[in-house]
Amino acid sequence: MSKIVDARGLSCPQPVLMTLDEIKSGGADEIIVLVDSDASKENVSRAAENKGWKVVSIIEEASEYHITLKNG
Amino acid sequence: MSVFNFLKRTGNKSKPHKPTDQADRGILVFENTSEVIQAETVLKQKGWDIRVMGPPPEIRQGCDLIIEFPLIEELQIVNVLRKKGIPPLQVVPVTGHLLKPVDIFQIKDFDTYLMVRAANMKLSVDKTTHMIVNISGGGCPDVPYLAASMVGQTIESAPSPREIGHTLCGYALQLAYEEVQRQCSA
Amino acid sequence: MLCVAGTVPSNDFPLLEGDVRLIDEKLYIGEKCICVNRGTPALLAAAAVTADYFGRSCFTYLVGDTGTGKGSRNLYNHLSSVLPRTSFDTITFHYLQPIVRWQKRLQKILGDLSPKPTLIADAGYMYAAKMSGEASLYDLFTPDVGELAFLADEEAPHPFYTRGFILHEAHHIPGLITRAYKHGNAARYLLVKGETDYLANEQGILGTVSGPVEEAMEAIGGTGDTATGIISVLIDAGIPIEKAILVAMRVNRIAGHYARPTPATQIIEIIRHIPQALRDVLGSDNQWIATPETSIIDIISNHRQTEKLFKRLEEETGTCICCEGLFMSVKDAASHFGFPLWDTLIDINTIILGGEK
Repeated sequence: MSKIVDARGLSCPQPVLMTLDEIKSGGADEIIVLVDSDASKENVSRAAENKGWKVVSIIEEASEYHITLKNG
Repeated sequence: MSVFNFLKRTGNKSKPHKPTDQADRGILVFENTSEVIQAETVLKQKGWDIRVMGPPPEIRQGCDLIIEFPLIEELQIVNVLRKKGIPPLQVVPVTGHLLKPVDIFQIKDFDTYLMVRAANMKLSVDKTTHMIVNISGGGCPDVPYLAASMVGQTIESAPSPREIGHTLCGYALQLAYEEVQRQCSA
Repeated sequence: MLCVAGTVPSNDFPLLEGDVRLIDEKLYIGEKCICVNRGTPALLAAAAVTADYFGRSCFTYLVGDTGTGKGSRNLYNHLSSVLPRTSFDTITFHYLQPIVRWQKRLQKILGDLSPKPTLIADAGYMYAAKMSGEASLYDLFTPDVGELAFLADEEAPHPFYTRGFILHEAHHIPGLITRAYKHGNAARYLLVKGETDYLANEQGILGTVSGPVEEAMEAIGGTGDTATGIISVLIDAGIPIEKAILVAMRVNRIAGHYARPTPATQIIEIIRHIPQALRDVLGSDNQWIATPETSIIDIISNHRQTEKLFKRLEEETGTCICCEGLFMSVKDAASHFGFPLWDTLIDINTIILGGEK
């Protein structure tokens, strides 16, 4: 099941915290995180990897990033 | 008499001690040897550990004899000598003949209260009633004794540190006390 | 175990030794009752309530001395005789008459103690430790700013004779600390008590504590004594010395803050708030949750209420800690972004533990 975390317009560390909350809730094995800064992109990716999730893809569109994370 | 025994031996200066051995000693300088003899008698009768000796070359005032004394007790020793009519010309630490007592005050206004700091001692008064409300700082054992005697009394009625104190901390408190008196009467 | 050596301001008070208890705001050594006021009694009272918090005890050697030095000489003599037969982990020396000759005798004994206890020197004993040239024997000196100037003045035999040009530099505390170490007149650690408290060693400033601020504390007799009492117990309880000192200074300040002090406040009013201040800063199990090695993301993600503290730090430093430093340890981030490590850690843990910052 796939969940979307829309963290656009939010400043650090909110994108990371929202991602971690979703990971912790255990409701999805794929999470797509939407952010709009380089720093958020890097931090979300790193936080997910620290929890054992994989960064499957990062798509850049306009000034946004769509980060696809998969469990394990 | 010990002074004359000393004079017989005089000629050679004593071997200089390592500075730290003398760090807590001071020098009393007098106008003449008669005063030195009197002071030696008075101070020894009171039980103080003192020595009569020749002055170091840097001391330019006074006669050919000085009294070395425990510096920490300067306040009470000078007080006793003053009362006997033989105040010293000069009082200096052994390890620093040019050292002088601190003469800088810090004054802090707390609206209702005034605090004066001299060296390491602070005295606080109520500006309206002139009551001494606190004494802080210092490290010599007479400080808590002075505080217990003075706090709760007005600056006019409290005993002065000079009268009941013993140490250099007491002396610093005396300076703060005198400055508070000046501030209160201004 | 902790031992405190000091004096009470009464010539009739005999040389006493024993465990210290604080009952109904009065000190007891055995059956002997002592009023709590500035000086060694204030230190002992603060140490007693802090020791209670840790389930520990505090021992003391106490004698009466109103400044003649007679009681202090008895105590120096007694300590020289008994200390070789004791096994204290921490010894704090407080209001003793500064008499170099007696102190040097005692210092020979202290130097031979094995294992060497942590040695803390405050008040008149600290003056004599500097005068005797043996500052390096001690682990901690706790001067206020005026006394720091005295330590920094290599010629001054007592704070009363500190030279004017050094006193004028009293606001340049780092410079005075450097000067004190340069001339060998500082212990292994220096805690300078003042508007901001500074912890330093020979390498430089290790940490500062600057809040909460109550200006009246400077005027109140005994606030330095209580700080030394709290520090002594924390060190004796095994808390690493740097953390113990900075935590103790925060506890002392918080206790002062709770007392709503004026210059007329007496020290017992502050001492009664030390237990709450300890709970605020250390929590009920005495363990900190955030340590210097904890990462910022771990702190914020597990304790969301700390986020506003990091946002405040961002404003103060003009940096983006939560963007660039999210995965750094607090220690690395403090160094990189320029915020005070120990002040911040104390604040973080106080927030986590639900106390007042």
